[in-house]
Amino acid sequence: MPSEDTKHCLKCLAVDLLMGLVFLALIGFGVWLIYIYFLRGPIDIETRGFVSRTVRSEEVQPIHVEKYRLSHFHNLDDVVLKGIPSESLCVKCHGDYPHTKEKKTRSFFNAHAWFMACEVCHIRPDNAEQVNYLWLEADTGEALTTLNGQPGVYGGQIVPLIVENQAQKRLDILSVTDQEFGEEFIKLREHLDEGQVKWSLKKIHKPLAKQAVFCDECHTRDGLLDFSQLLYSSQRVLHLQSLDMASMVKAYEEFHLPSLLDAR
Amino acid sequence: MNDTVNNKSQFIRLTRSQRIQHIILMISTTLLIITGFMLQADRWFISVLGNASEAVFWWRGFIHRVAGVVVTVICVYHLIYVVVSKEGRSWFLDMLPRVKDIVDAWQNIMYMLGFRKERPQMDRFFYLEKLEYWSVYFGMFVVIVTGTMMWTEYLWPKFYIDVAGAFHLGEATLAALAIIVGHIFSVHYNPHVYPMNRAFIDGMISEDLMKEEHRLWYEREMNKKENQQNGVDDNAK
Repeated sequence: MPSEDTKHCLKCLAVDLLMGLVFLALIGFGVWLIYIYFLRGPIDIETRGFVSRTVRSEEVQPIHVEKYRLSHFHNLDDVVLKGIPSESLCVKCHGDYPHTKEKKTRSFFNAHAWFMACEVCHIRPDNAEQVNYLWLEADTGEALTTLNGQPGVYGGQIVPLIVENQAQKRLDILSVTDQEFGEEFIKLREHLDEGQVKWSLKKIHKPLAKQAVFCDECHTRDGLLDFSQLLYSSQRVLHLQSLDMASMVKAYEEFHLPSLLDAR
Repeated sequence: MNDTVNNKSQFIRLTRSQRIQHIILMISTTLLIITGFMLQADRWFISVLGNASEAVFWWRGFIHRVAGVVVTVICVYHLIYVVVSKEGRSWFLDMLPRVKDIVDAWQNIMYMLGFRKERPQMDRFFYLEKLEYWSVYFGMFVVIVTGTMMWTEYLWPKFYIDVAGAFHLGEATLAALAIIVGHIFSVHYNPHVYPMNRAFIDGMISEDLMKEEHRLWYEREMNKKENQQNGVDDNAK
């Protein structure tokens, strides 16, 4: 039988061991805190509330998306590709990031091109037309029923569907004849004269609105997009409707950035 | 070893109400630190938890909000407590910073560096305890305001939310480090109380620890006791 002294020593040793381990854990946690706050680089605050953080299956994940999210945008050199297959004729000529002209707003528009079909903004439905905007699964074209994944990366994109005779028709897929005409034009463009190119481009772009849908037409109450129909949570709907984009765009239709950012 | 175990004379350090407030604050703050800093290692958690991560992160957000509400309630309760109750007022008055605290801090540093033979004689709460207490006021104000803003993010412009997020994380980091470096050391690893100061459980402090860390308070209490005894004796006569 161990003596009382031995028992006492063993008890002290156990306490010391436990306290030592706790001490090491606390020091480790403290060092990690210092690392994340001071040494890890720019801090991205994410306040997503109850939004799911689970990543969807790999095949629909955008290429380099993790690197994109981890890097500060000023240091980003890699081209980030959508990785979502698209049959859109627009993308064939203009690419995943088509907005290049307006340097001060193109990032906003290209950020939206990440998860929206071009036709959402570039086709304006007539008053008489009923258009539904839905998230369609990238591979199957089926409507998503829930939004799983990182914001904007749900494995599909927002697509406008026009309702005709109680049937829904995708506005981002051209009629067979238009599609064939467009593909033929892409093939033969080099051999066409200036007049033929101009005429063909006019024909291809005819359905598009002269003035694209702007930020404050969607990011507002009763806007063009019904965010509830787009499966966002009620909290997220309020957020999207009340984004300062709308007021910012109204108040500052011209973006005044410091002149040092302008090219000389 | 803990002095409270070895000494027969014990003094009341924390009342029952104060111990309950401390326990609630301790549990809710621990939960807030764990569930808050999980966001800073979300990729690691997702890789470890796999499919369960969605549910775990839902509960993370839920627990963080519940703990946030609890900590807010206990802070409001404490404000009422220090105004309304006698022991609360006494606590608050003794916690008020005084010029002596600056002198104590200087003399204590000199003592620890070996330039002074004796520790300064300190009162019921010494300068580090006061610093911790008032830091909680400042910290709680920052995290409660910014946390409420982030909870109602759809009401605020993004710029405000970004600023609130930066303050929330910054204050949480500061508080967590202060708890680890300051509070955990003084109530666990300090040789006078190792492995644990039991005041937060039984509310008592040993005579030796009173003499060592709160000499002025000890002398005041002893004088009070002596006067009471003399008063009793006089009355008896």
